[in-house]
Amino acid sequence: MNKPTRVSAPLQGVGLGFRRELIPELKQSATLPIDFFEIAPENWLGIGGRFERDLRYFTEQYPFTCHGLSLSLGGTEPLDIELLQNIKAFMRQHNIQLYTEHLSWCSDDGHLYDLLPIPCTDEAVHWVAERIRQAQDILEMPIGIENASYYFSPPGAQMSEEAFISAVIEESGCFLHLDVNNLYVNSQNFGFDPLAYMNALPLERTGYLHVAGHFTEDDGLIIDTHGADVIDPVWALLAQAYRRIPSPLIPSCLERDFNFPPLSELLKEVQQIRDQQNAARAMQQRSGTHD
Amino acid sequence: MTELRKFQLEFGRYVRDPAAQSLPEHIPPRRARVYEELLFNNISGFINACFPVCRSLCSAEQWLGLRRDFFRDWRAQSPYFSQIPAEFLAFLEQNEALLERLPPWFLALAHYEWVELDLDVRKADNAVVPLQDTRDPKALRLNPVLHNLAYEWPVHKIRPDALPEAPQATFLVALRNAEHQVRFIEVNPATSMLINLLQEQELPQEHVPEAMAGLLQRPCDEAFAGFCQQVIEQLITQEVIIDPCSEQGA
Repeated sequence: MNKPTRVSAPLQGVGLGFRRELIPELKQSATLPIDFFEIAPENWLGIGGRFERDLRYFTEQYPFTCHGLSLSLGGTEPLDIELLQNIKAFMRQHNIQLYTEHLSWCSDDGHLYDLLPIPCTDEAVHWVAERIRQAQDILEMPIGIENASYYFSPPGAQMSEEAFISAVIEESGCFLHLDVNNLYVNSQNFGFDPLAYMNALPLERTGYLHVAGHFTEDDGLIIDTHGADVIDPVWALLAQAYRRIPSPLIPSCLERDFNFPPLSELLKEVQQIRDQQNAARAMQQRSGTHD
Repeated sequence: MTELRKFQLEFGRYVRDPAAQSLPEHIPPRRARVYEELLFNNISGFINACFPVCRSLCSAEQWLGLRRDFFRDWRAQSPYFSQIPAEFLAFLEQNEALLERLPPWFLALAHYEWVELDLDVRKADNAVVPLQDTRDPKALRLNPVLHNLAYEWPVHKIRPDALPEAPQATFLVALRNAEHQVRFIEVNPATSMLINLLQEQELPQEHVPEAMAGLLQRPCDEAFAGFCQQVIEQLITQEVIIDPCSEQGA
C-alpha cells in the first residue's frame, strides 16, 4: 500500500467557496482577505467562455482547492477514471494542490447528483478504501475525505460512523477533511455528543476543514443547506476542533451555496475563522505542545 | 451482488420513484423524504434553468410529470452538473411514447433552449478572434463555438401567445462571440448550406462560389459569386467566420 506521509497540503489559512453568484462582487474587490478559494471541479472543468475566463482571472491571483461532488467513492458502479483524469488535468492547469471528496455515494446505476450515506460495514470500508487508493494513484497525491451530513443511518451497520471513517482513512492512507457543520448537523439529527464523536476521529490526520450554515425545519430536523450564517454552536465546535488538530492553520473553508449575503458579511465569517485559527495557534505556542 | 450494491439499488429505485416504490426496511419515512426532496429539487433546478420556454408552455402538472419520468427512468452518465439538461434532452429524444403526448414542436424547442446553455459553457480549443479585414483571408474558418441549426418549426418565435400552427423550415446559426455572448441569427437556406460546407472543410474564399454552385446545381456566374461574397462578408461581421490565425493557447 502506498501510504502518503504528508497529511496536509502546504496551503494554510482561510478560504471561501467560489460560486458564480459571488464573482461580480469578488471582481470589484482589489485585494481580498482570503487565502484561497474552493471549487467543485464538476462545476468548472470542461467549461469555457465567460466562466473559464472568470475562473482563470482568480486562479492566477489566488490558490484554489478542489472539493469534489460526483466521484461517488462509496458507489458501486466502476470508479470514473475519466473524471479523475480530467480532474487531474484541471488541477494542473490551475495549479491546484489539494483535492477532497465526500465519504458518500451519489450514483446507483446512474448519477443521482446528491450525496447519500454509506452503510458502516466492513465490506464498505474495504470497498471505499480501495477506490480511494485508486483515486490517489491516478491523482498522484493523497486525497481528503469529508464526513458527510446524512439523514438516516443505512441499515446493517457493524460499527459506529467514527470507527468507519477511521478505518477508511487507516486503510486508504488518505487524510481527514473535517466538516464541523456536518458533524454538528448529524449530532443534532441523531442525538449524539459532537465532541465525543470528534474525539473518536483520527484528528491527527486532518488536512482540511469546512464550516457552513444550515437550515432547521419546523419539526427540528436540520438540513445541511449551506444557505445561512454559521451558528454559535458550530463556531464553538470549530474552536474545539482547532484545539485538537495538529496545526490550527490548516486550510479551512467557509461554504456558502445560495441565499448569498453581501460579500462583506461572508468576509466577517472568514475573519471569524481566522481569529479562531490564530487564537488556537497562540494557545499551542504558549503550551509548547506543537511547532 | 454485494450488500452495498443491493442497498444502493434498492434505495435508488425508491428515491427515484417514491410514489410507486416501497421504502426499503429500517429507513424512517421522514428521513427518506429529505432525500426525495433534495435529489429531485436539485435535478429540477438545472432543468428549470435551461428550459424556461418549454416550462412556460406546459401545465405545472405536465412539467412535473416530465421531470419525474426523467428522474425515474433515465440513468444519467455524466458526472458534470452542467450536463444534466443534455441528459434530459437525450431522455426526451429517446422517449417516443412521451413525445407523442407533447406538442409536435416540443423537442425542437427543447433542443433550441439547450443550445443556448451549450454555447454559454462549451470549452473551445482556440479563442474566438474576429476577422478585422473581410477581404481575402487565406481560408474561411468557422467560429468553433457554433451550432448550425435547421428546425422544422420556428422555435425562436414560440411563446405562450404565439404557438406555431404548421411546420416552417427554420435555419438559425447560434454562436458564442469574442465577448463570450451567445447570439442567435436567423439565416436563409443558402447561408446555412455555406456554413455546412465550411464545417466539412476550411475553404479559401475564392473556392466558395464554385462549391456552392455545385451543391445548388446552378451555374457559377459573376452574380452568384457576388452573392457568395456578400454572404461571407456578413458572416465575418457576425463572427460566424473568424480569424483563421487564432491558434491554440490564445
